[in-house]
Amino acid sequence: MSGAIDVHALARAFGDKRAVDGVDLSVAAGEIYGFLGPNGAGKSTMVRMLTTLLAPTGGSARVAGFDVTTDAEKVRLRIGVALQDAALDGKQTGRELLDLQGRLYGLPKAERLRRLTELLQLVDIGDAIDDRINTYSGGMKRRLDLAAALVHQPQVLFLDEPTTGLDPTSRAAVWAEVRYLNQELGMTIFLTTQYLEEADALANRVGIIAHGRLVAEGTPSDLKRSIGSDVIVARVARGTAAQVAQAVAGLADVARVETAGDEVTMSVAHGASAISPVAVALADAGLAVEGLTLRTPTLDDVFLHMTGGRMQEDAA
Amino acid sequence: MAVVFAVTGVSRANALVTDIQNGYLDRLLLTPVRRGTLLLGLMTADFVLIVALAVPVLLLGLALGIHVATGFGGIVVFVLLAGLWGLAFTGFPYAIALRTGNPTAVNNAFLLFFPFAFLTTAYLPQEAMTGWLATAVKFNPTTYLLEGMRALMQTGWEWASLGKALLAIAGMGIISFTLAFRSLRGRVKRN
Repeated sequence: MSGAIDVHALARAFGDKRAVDGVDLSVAAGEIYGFLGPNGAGKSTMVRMLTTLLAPTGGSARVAGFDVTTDAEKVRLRIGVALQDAALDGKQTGRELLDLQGRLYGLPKAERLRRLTELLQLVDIGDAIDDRINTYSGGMKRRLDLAAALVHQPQVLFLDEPTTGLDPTSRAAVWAEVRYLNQELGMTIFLTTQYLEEADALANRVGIIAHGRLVAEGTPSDLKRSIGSDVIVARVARGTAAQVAQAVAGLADVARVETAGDEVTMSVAHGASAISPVAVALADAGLAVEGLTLRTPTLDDVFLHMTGGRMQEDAA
Repeated sequence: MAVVFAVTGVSRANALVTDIQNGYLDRLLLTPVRRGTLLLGLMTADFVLIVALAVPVLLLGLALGIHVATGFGGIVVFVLLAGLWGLAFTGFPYAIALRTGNPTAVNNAFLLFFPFAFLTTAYLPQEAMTGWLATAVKFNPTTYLLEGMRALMQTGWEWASLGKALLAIAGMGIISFTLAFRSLRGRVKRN
C-alpha cells in the first residue's frame, strides 16, 4: 500500500523560474512530515500543488491515494488545508463559515452540528464563534482556519507555516493541536516551516528544501547525526589542558581532540555513549574537570551544512 | 434605455476580487465543489439583483404613463430580457477579476460598458446615423436588445426584433462566459 503522499519528480516552473525542481518524497499514513526551508525555497508552491490549488508543470503526485491532477476532487474530499494566511471571509460569522464548509463537503445537517461542537472544543474560540470574522484577532483567525480545514475529518492535513508570526503561547498551542491530531486521531500531517526547532519538535521525518530541490531527508536525529560528530567540551583546571587531551585522545569513541585555553573539545561519534568513557578516563588519570558539556548538532547545523555544501558543489 | 443603463455592469466581481485577495477563494477551491459552480453562484445572485433593479425602473415608467403595447406578458419578457442581458455581461468583470485579482482593474472594467451603452440607437434612430457611427451601432449587440425592448413597449410582439435581441444576448453571453470560465481555469493553472 503506498503512502499517504507520494511525490515523483514533481516540478513547477513560473516562466523561467523553477520554483519546485524535481522533488521526490513519500509520506506514510499517520506520519508527521516536516518540510523545512527558508523563504522562497518552494515550500508553499509544493503545498499548493499537493492540495490541487496549482497544477504542476512536471512530475506527478498522489495524495490520499489519488492523483492530484486527474482525481483532484477525490483528493480534496480527503485533505484539509490551512495555508499561511488564514483563508476566511470577514463578513461571515465563525459558525456560518464552518457550516458552509460542512455543506460544501456534503455533510448532512446533523453531522455538521456534531462537527461544530467537536471543533469548538478543539480550537477554543468560545462565544466569538457567533461574531463576524472580521472582528477576530489574528490568532483567532488562525484557529478558525484550522477548524475550517478539519470540518470534514480529512485523512491528510496540510499546514503551511502554521506558527509563522505567532507569539510563543500561540505557537505552543498550535504544536499541541498538531500532536493531538496526529496521535489521537491518526491524521497524517504535512507541515512546512522555516523554523528548525519546529521541525525538530514535531516531525517524525524532515525534508529540507532549498531552491526548489530536496537536499536532505530523514528523521531529525538521523539528519543531525549525518553531518558528523557530537561534541564533548571539558572545562579544565588551568594548565591541565594538555594532560586532559592526552588522557582522552586514545579512547575509541573520540575522533578528534582540540585544546584551546582551558577548554578541551572532543569530537565523538555518539556523545551519549562516549561521555562515560571520557569521564572514566579522566578519573583514572586523576584529572579533575570543572565542567563537562555534551553538545549535539542541531538541524541548524544540518541545514547550513547541506545548503552551504551544495552551493560549493554547484560552483565546482 | 434607463433599464439597460441600470443593469449593464452589475456584477459581484468586486466581491470575487475580495475573496481572491483574502484567500477565501482558495478555501472554496479546496472543496470538492465543481469550480464552475463558484461562478454560477455569483451569476445567479447577479441575475436576481438585476431583475430587482429592473422592476422599479419599469414601475416608475408605468407610473409616469408609459403604455406597454404587449401588456403584462410583455412586461415579464422585458424584465427577462434585461435580466439575461445583465447576466450575459457579468462574464467580463468576472474574467477581469479572475485574471488580475486586482480591485482597481475590476472597477475600471465598468468603463468597458460605456461604448456598448452609448453606441446604440438610444439617442438617434438608425436612419439618422452615418459613417463609422452607423457601423458601430450595427455591430453593437445593445442595439438589438434595445430594438427588442422598444418593440415590446411600443409596437407589440415583433418576433423578429425579439429574436435578434435574444441572439444578441446569447452571443454576448457566450463570449463573456467563455472568457470568465476560461479565466477561472487559468487561475488554477497559474496560481
